[in-house]
Amino acid sequence: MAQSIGTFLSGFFLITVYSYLFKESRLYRYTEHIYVGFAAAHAIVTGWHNVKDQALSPLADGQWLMLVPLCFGCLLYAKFTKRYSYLSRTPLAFMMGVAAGVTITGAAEASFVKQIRATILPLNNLDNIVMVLGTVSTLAFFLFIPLGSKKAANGKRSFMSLVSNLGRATMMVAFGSSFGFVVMARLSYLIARLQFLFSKVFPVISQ
Amino acid sequence: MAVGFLSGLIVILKYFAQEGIISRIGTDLIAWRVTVAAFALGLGAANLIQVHARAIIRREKNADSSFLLLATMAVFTVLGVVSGPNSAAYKWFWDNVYQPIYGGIASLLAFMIVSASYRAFKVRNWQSAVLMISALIVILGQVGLVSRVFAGLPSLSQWVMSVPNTAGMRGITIGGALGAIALSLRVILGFERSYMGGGQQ
Repeated sequence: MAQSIGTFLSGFFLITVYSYLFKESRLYRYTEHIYVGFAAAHAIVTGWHNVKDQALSPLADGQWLMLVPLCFGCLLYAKFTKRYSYLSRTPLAFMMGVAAGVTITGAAEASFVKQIRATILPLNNLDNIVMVLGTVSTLAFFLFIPLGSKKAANGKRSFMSLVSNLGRATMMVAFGSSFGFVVMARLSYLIARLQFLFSKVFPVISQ
Repeated sequence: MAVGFLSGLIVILKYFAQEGIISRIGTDLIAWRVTVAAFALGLGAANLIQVHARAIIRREKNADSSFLLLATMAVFTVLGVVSGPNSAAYKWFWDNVYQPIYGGIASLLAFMIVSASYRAFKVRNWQSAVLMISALIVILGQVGLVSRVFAGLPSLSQWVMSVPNTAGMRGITIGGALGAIALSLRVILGFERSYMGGGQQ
């Protein structure tokens, strides 16, 4: 019974969402607001359980140092008062400082050193040549934009301009293929939803 | 500013000191941040309540939708806090209310993307031609009927995804990492303070 009600409810919400394709109706707006309400509630629930597991439980076990993040968290709400809103800057600075530290170490390791290491390839086949040239020219496009747009003294295009154009072409291929991939992913999502609607929901309704 | 500088510096030093007091403090700071960030989620929720409660009190045009949003939020917050997000009741609503709406909206994007690209994609120069061709290769390479006619298309599509796409994305990733490191350094050193509000740099 509960499963049938659930399937019916799922189908109902799915149809109200798809009703947007015809017109932005009141039903669609209600569904949209239910979604936002649920998402916000889920964020609160997740946050509450994080606070409970990572701060309140250790505090109850005698780890008094956990009072510091709890106080920082409470200070964030000082933003709602005009007189004490400056107090919310301390936890904000703390969060930004830690986030910046994590970003520097994380980005340096995963997005910088590892990516460069993966690009150092032997130029003995087409794939490796395209990979190395594409990566280097894309970087050159980003880092030497002023040089890439300049022409050489004799009026011809400079070497950096050619490299910059190659980088631009590589990026266009990357954007195009990513776009194609996203389109296909969304279409398969749509097909899955329609399959669910026709194979699960409509049989429940017709029963 | 001193708080941001010190916390950022300790987290960076933790990366180099695998054990010892700096490493322990750094690990604690990262864990504390999760707790403070959880409070920040509540801040966002409070803002949402403020906006929609104002709409209801002033009886604005979509006050009924605002009421529904706040009611949904209240019901599921109470349910999630009291019974836990892994309880059967919460999971039932998650599977039969949240997931179908999310799935519907996500799949609705297929129509939006097709309609937007039909209006926006005009081959004006060689860059847009390259973009269009690579998109077509990837899309058609995954269509069974087209792959039947052009047998080499799926492997070409796979090659585009794994070689030039990776090369372009890798360049962008490295460039982005450089930017992220530069911005993070500005935050730690106190040159970037716009996140505090008030527009001061």
